[in-house]
Formats: sequence, structure tokens, C-alpha cells
Amino acid sequence: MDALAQLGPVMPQLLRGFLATLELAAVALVLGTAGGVVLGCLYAWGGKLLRALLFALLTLVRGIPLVVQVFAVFFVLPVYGIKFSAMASAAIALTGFAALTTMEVVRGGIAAVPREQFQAARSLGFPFTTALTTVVLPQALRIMTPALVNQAVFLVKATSVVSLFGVTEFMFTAKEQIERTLLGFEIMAIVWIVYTVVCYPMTLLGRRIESRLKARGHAALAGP
Amino acid sequence: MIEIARLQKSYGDRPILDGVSLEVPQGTVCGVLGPSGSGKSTLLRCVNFLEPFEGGEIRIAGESVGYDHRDGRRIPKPRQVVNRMRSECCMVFQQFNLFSHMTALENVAIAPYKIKGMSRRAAREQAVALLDKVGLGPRKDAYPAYLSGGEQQRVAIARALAMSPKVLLLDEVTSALDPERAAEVLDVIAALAADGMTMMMVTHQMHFAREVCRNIVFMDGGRIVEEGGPEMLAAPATDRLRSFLRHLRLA
Repeated sequence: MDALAQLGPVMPQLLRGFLATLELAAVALVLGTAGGVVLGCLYAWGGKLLRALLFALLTLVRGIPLVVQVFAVFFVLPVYGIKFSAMASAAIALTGFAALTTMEVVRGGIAAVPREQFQAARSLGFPFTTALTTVVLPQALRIMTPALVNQAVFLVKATSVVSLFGVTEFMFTAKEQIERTLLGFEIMAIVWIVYTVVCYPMTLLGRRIESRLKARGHAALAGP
Repeated sequence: MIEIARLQKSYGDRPILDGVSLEVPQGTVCGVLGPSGSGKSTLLRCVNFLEPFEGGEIRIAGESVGYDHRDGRRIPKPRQVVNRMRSECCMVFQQFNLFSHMTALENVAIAPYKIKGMSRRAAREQAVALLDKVGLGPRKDAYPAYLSGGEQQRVAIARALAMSPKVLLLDEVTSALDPERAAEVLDVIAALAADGMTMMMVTHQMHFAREVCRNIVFMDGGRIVEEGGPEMLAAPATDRLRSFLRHLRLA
């Protein structure tokens, strides 16, 4: 009972942190996914040089722990005179990470659509971009859905990494309040429940999109 | 309608088409026969300009495909012109290649709607009429995965017809089908031929070729080895065609 009474005043703080997390996740998700789709298309259809550049960036991002990437934006870029606020730095680091990892998902999705689909569209007189947007990308999306949902859920949770750098998001405020109230177990339980409540519907939504697309006949993708 | 003159095409050092010349008069069907790797599919793909070529010229209704020829030089045509010419000379593939995320009706309606600027309603109505024509009216809302091979190929033909092409290119359209399914598709093609559709058809169906083709060319090693009317299949002049036909009969 004592703990519950103590938790009351903590809530508004936690809510503020939670809203910051949502904001961060939304920015990284929207910009990261949009950027990832564009980069994925560039990777799939671009020239050799562009591919090499994107592959190098991807290798860098995949090879370095996310914490270190965020560290780089927070502490290495300012050395070269590029400075942002803590929140902006966090958003930049997460968006960059999201864009490059989404790029790989999109590239794989496009590669999985049989090349004949694109050729059939071209043979009917579809211009390049129309063939891409009406024939290739919708089919790639179907293939990419599970990976994209996975990516989105991961990204929401990954925002907690920036708490290490003093960004006042959900995880950071939670740790702050634990230090103040010493209610470690209770507050961490709240953190766990809240992340789950946000992520679970995303998974459900992904499943629904998947099964709706599947109703159209996944089999055709495997080829005749 | 189609005039091909001294067509040259190679992949690296390997010549694929080595000076192919042929003519398909309007309203006739030209059959292209030959073993695998003889260049017959590539020839069709050049006519649709899915493949660029290095030498010679292809004309459709008098218009040069892919390149303009000025002062003895070849200049690639603008993209819009290439796209328009492709839509006037549609191709049907061995593996159907229907858009798997669209119903039969959408497959047929999408190109006129997206490319020709036809209204959604007009495109759908035309698609329904074309699907009726190939005997698939009742299956119009099925996705390709739920259609048999023969049905898919008939949808693919309807999809090509939806662009009202001047020419139809058929690339081994029955090779992936069992004899009964193939017959469904061949009936559709015979009806088109009777309607006066100009077609170039790569095929291994000798009986069918003899029935519908005005001209037949036999290719080997990127060249036309023998050409003539359908009667040439009964009395081949070259040993190469004779041996090819004998193996086909044994198969």
C-alpha cells in the first residue's frame, strides 16, 4: 500500500518520458521507413558506385552496436562542429539506423519479386517508375511485411538506448524515478507493461496485413 | 507490318542473332521454329525492344524500333517513344507472368488505365469483354494463383490485347502447359488469327503452326536456316530442319 501511494506522484513524470519515447519512435519509424524504401530502391536499381557506397554504410551500421552509433552522433560529430540537441541527436541516430536496416529489408523484398514481373510490365509499355510502383513494390511489400513489422517493434524498444546519453525519454525518467523512490521492481514492471502494450498491437496489425495479403494467393510468387 | 533487316545481336563475344531478316505482312501469322538457344526468343524480345541490338533494323508499321537512323548513325529513341511502341506490340510469355497481386480483371485493366489514361470504368468494361472473349468471364475475380496454367495464359493474352496492339508476340506460350490446357490457348490464338491479328509466334506445336501460319522460319545458331510456307514442314529442304522435325516427332 505504501508503495502504491508513492507511485502516484511518479506517474506524471513517467508519462512525460513515455510521450518523448513515442515521439522519438514515431520520427525514427516514419522517416526511417521512408528513407529505407528510397534507399532500397536505389540499391536495387542504382549504379555500381551507389551500391558500393550503400553497402559500405550498411556494413558499418550492422557491424557497430547501436549504442556506439548513438555515441558517435552524440560525441563524435560535435568534434567536427556538427552539434544537435540531445533529442535531435537521438532522432538522427535512430533514423539513420532504421533507414539503413530497412534498406536491406526492401532490397531483399524487391530481389524476391521475380524479374519477369517487371519485364512483363515493361513489355506492355509501362514506364520504369510505373512498373516499379504498380507491379514490383506492391509484391515486394507482401514479402517484406513480417520483416518490416519486426523492424518497427525492435525500433520502438531500441529508443531506450538513448537513455544512456541523458535523453529524457521513458527509460531515462524511469531510472530517475527509481533512484528517487527506490521502487525498482514496481517501476520496471510499469516499463515492461507499457512497452508490451505498445508493441503487441503492432505485431497484431502486422499479422492482419500479412493474412490479408496472403488471401490473394501467395503461391503465385513461387513461380509456376 | 513487321520488317526485320540484317538484325545483329550478341552477348559479349557470343553472337545471338547473326543477320536475321524477315517480313510479316499485316494480318498474317509468322511461326518461328528452332532448337533452344537458336535465338528465337531473343528475336521476339528485340521486336518488343526488351533487348537492345547492335546492328540492323526492325520496323513496325514503318516505324523503326528502338533507334532512329539519321545520317547513317543510330540514335536511341526517347524513352516515351520506346514505351509507346512496346504498348503497340505486346508480348505473351511462356511462363504467363501475370501480376500475382492482381485479379484476372485487374491484370487486364491495369495497363490501359495506367498507361493509356483510359478511365477506370472503361478499362474495367473492356477487361470484362476481353475476358469473355478468351472464355474466362466467370473467373474474372480470381487471383492468378487460383487459375490453371491454361487460364493464366488466356488472361495473359487478354492483358496484351487490352492495349489494342498492332502486333502480338507469342513466346512459346503453350510450352508450360499440358496438351489439354495448350489446346484451350491455341483455340484463342486461332480465333485471333482468323480475326486478322498480326502475330509472330515462337512455338514447338508443328500441327498448329501448319494450320495458322502464313510463313514459317526455322532458326539455328542465330540465323534463319530455312523459310517458307507451312508446306515446308512436310517437305523440308535442309538436312538441319529435317533432323529437327524428326527429333520433335520422336519426343
